[in-house]
Amino acid sequence: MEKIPPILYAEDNENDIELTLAAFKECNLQNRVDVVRDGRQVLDYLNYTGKFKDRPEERPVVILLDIKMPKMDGIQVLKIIKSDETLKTIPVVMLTSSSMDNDLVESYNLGVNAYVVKPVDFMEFLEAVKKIGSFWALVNKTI
Amino acid sequence: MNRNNKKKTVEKQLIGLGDQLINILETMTDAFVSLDKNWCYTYMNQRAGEIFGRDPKVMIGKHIWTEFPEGIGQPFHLNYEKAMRDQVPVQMEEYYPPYDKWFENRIHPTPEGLAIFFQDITVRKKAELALKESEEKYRALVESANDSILIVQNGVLVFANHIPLLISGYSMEEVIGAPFLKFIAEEDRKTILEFYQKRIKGEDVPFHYETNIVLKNGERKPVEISISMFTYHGEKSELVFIRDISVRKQLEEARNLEQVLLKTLINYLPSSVFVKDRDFRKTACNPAHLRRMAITLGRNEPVSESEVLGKTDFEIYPETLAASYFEEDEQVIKRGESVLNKESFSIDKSGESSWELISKIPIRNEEGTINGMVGIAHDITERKKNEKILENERMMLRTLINTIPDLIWLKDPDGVYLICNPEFERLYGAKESEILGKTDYDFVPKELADFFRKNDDEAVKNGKPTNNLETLTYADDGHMGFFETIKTPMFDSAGKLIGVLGVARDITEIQQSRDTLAEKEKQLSSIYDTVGNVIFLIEITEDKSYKFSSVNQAFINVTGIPAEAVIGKNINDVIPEPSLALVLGNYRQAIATKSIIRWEETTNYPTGPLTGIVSVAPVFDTDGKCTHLVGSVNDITDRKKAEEEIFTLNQTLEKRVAERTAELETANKDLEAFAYSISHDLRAPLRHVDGYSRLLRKSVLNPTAEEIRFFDKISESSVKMSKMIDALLNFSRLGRKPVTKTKVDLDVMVKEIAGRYQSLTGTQATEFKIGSLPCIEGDPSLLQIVFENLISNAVKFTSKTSQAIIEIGVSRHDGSRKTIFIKDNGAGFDMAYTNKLFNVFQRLHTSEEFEGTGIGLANVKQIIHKHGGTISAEGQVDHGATFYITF
Repeated sequence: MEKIPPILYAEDNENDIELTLAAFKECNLQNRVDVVRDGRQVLDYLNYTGKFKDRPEERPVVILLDIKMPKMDGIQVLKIIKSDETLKTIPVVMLTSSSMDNDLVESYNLGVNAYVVKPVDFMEFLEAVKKIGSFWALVNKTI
Repeated sequence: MNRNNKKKTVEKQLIGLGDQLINILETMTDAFVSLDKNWCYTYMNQRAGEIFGRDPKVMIGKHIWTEFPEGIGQPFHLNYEKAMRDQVPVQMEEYYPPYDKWFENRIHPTPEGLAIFFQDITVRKKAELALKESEEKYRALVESANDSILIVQNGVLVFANHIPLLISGYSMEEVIGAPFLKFIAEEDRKTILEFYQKRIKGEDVPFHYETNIVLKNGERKPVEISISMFTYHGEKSELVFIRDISVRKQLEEARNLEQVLLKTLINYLPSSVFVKDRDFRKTACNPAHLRRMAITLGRNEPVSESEVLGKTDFEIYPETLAASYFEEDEQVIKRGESVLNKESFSIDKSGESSWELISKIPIRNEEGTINGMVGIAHDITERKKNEKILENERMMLRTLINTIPDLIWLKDPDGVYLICNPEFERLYGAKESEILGKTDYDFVPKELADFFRKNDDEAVKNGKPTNNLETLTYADDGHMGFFETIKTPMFDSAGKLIGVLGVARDITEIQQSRDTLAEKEKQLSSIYDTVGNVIFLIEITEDKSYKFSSVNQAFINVTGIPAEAVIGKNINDVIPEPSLALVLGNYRQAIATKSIIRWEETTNYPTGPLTGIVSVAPVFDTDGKCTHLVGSVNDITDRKKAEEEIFTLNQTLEKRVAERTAELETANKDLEAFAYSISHDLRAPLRHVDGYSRLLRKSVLNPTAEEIRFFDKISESSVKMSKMIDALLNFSRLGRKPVTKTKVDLDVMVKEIAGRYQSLTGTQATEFKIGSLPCIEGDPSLLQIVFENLISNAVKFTSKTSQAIIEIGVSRHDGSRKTIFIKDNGAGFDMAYTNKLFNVFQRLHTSEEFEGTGIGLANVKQIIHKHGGTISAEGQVDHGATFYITF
């Protein structure tokens, strides 16, 4: 059986991580969700550097990026991924609390694959995560 | 004695003579009769019988005078008597009238009587007489001839009539016997001699020739000589005719000269001259005529004489032209009526029009018969053109005179009007035709007429235009004006006074303008002197130096220099250095660039250092020469100080503005960060609250209804707060959004929105009454928010009304201002809280009654204000609300 690629989830807020992971759990997704706490770690993860230098070689099926993160925010990370020849083919979904137009426009300009505002209503949030997981991990074909 | 006896006697006698004698007598050609002493015939031969017409036999014995009584008294009778009486023979030749014949009679007395032989000599006698007559005639002719008639024999004059005497002054004695050549001029003698010798030899020589003879006084005279040979007194002679031709020569010469003159005259005459014979054929013409003919025929080269002579006009000219000439010629040649100075117009082939003055005169011979005609045509085209030009000029002048609004008139030296124009007619209220020929005395009182006359005389005396001013009143409409009159004496080319030309101009208005101008000048002058600015006028003199020609009071006040130290002074003496150099430089620049030059200048004047903005404008005359400079100085000494203060203040202000701007920019950024923070950070905990509560609920087994309600409340509150955050963010974002105005058709926009809500309300059947809405200038996306809000509000607040009616329309249309109302019959509101209506998060209804964040109307108000409009509302609880938007 083929190895199931992980989902990379970048989020600094522990509550969000817990609730999101709970949501993924509800969806019964087979994919492992690797969580990183800031933008720098996203790049380390993808480039097998820093604390991820010994990580087994594995391309995530999708990257879920929070915008507001310490050290390097989600927009900056997106910019680097989409300008990197090897990384730019990985789908990136912005998963954020912000509904600011600026972020939305900029993300799309940089080539984001999807932009999701986390609903306040947990039930709606659950629904959203479920859709994200099933679409990107199951429906979508990656290179 | 009886007749028979006598007869017998004669016969006896005759017989006695013997038969032979009788035979002789009978056969001879002479007539013969014999008479006895009694005068009776004793014999008559046959010839005599023929002459007498009698039978000779019968006549024997008859008495002569009885038989021929008509002979009694005739010479024959007398001579017979004489011969009988004196017994002498008589011979006679005599005319016998009864027979109209001449007879030669030889009368011999015989013993018996008389024997008479006679012969009819009429023929001979008549020839003799004729010869004699002829000789007489010739002699008379020769003697009375005007020519000299000479007979020369062997070179010597043997005969001369008296004429040589008259011609040569020689006497007859000196002439006869003199050699002929003596009278011939020496140089001609040789020729004469040669001719003579040749003639003698029978050679052919001229019969007539001209030569000169020498007179006794040595003078020479031209003569014509005719010489012919003839026999004179049995000798070969020369008959010489000499004719004095000096007079003829003179005449000939004169005639030749006349002809040459005439020919020359005609040939060089610019007028066309031609002669036609009685058959209308051209027999002569001059070059001018040929030239003229070429023009008429449209030919470039002249017509030659040979082409036209002997031809009629019909052979030369086109039919119609020839016919017109012929008509005239016929009048001259056939009726003898001259055509004199007739003007004839024609257009030649090239379209050039020409005029000719034509005269045609019949030529008559001595008997008065017309042999032909002479035509003379003179080209008067130029004159005609000149006449036309003159006429045009005259018309132009007349039009000019008539059109000029001035009064114009011309009076002769006696003051009689010769010309006047329509304007002048007004003065005397009479037509020109009524004025001409009259004087001023016929129209105005003597006093005024005298005045006019005096002015006219004055002009004549001065010999040049003379001005005077006078007040005149028009007779036609009573118009009274102040006139400037110019009277000019007019002289003809010979310098003789024709009259006085008058031109009068109504200068009433000019005079008024002058007065106004003077007034204006006075006003300007007072402005000049009372104005605060320094004003000065500089004159540029011939030697290019600058002199103050005028300064105003301000100049004197400000500089402290007295007027007398400035006016007329060179600027070098007034303006101190170093300003002078600057000033001069700027003056020159102003003149060179023909523009106003401004500069700031600080000069030390007696009143102290003064700073001013100096402006100098050059003034040019019509030749483009700069004659003056007008300058003004705006004293800015005080302003300068103020400016410095302002400069300092500005510096501070700018710094403060920069600081403030930086502060604002920071604040703006903070606000942005704040909004971001709200959007991102405030929402996260809400999600967490809801999320964890949901998780908690899941983990609680068999929750009570109360517990479930609590979990729901937590979720509800979280969501509500999230919405409020969104609304607030939206409001803040609208506040920063710039307004981009275009034309917005509210009619379309509102009906679209209403349509959408209509379909949303579905069965609830809200009735929309929407009137026609205008187009306005505004931001379509913002206006969309306004009407979305107001219409959704209306729908929302009528949701509990059974018969919901929403009306939208224009309530007032006040010029460019338009008020649109949105009226519903829903929940309405208490007017006491109107002021709260448009504030953020201010609600007049509970969420339970009507949902809402309380930010919609705040947004509407904000947008309307951004559009420069106003919004107001009125309402009553349960009776609906009306919102008014005025753009």
